[in-house]
Amino acid sequence: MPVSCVVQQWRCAFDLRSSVLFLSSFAIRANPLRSAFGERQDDVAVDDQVSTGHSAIIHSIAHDYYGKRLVTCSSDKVPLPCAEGAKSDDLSADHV
Amino acid sequence: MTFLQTMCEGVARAQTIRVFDKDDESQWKLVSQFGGSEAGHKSAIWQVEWAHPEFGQVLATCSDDRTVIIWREREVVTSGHAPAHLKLKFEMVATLQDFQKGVTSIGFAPAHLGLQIASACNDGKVRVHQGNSTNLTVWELASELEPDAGFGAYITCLSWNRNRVDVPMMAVGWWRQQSGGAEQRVSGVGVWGYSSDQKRWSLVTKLDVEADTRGLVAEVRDVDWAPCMGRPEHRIAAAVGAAVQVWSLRPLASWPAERCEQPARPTVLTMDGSVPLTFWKAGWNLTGTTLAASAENGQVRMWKLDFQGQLKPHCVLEQ
Repeated sequence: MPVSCVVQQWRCAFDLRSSVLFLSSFAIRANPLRSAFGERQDDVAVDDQVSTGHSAIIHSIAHDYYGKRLVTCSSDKVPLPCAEGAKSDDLSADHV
Repeated sequence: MTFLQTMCEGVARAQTIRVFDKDDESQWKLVSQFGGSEAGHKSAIWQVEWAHPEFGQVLATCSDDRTVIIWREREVVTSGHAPAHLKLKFEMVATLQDFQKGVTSIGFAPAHLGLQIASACNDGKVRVHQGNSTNLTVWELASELEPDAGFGAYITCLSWNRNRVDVPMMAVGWWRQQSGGAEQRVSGVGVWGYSSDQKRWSLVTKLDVEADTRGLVAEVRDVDWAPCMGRPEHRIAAAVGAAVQVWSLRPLASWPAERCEQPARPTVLTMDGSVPLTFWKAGWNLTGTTLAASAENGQVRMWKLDFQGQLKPHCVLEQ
């Protein structure tokens, strides 16, 4: 799956499988000695994740000012309660 | 009625927005879900943004349905047995409808400029709305700017300059098909500033997008203005096709009295490997020292500024 969002305000957050967000505290794990010598840093691990419950790709995520609250938006597929009278043109829009 | 039609009507795409809180055991818990089919956007939501907390718990979303919706947290009386996701309620307080096409990107102005929101629209314009912090239902169109005037470019992204010393500024990314050649695109990133004397936005400087190895110009998908943190130069990163391009700008505080000189060619950061993969988003960290970009193959690449101000590969995050 493509990664559709990346937010670095507080930590790095991105979605890989559309339903889960992984947060990585790369800044804490970075080894100061190694980066001082300009070496590549590969020992970064995912240490936090959020099961968002979204069923489709997440278009955008945002942390709040304090980094304690997260908001996501997605085009979820949900069954319509009344499929008979639903107007399909409600969902159409101009695409790029 | 065809089979396909039946299928289409059975499943709708509801544009849901979810809010998560970090609890005491540092687990993320769903606390609110809203914006389903009954109230909210009618088409895909492209971006969601928080306003500064001094204006309360306020969210904005932009969508392909040509609107921007402002949401505010509402007090709820909990009965004690309410499910956790009903803990918070967000209500629609305003819908901005000045757009002729889908709205691709939004950004609240830094808090020292008051309650303002900029919206990038596919009709070729960026509109800035002025809000009222005591009455969130009132938003007036304060100003607008047109980066590629007369050609109707797609505005894909914008990012505010968050430095207090400078006049209000933002970076705007756009692209359009060139008339004639099917493969040829024109894209650009412009730095726009608001001059309080003239009461309008004007172009501060143009950032030239580099063509790829085949000589083609890709579309600009995302732009992010790095927090400057007292450094002498500003950095702006843009995700352009298979590369992330970073420009350095000299101090801008004297604009518009002094003209801002056009910055040098950007630093072009690419994936290693033979297949060019598109970057979708780019973002700086809080101190403007690490740049992360997400790619279509599921990787996030990071670059870090070294002591000479050069961006060096830092790490790759993948599944």
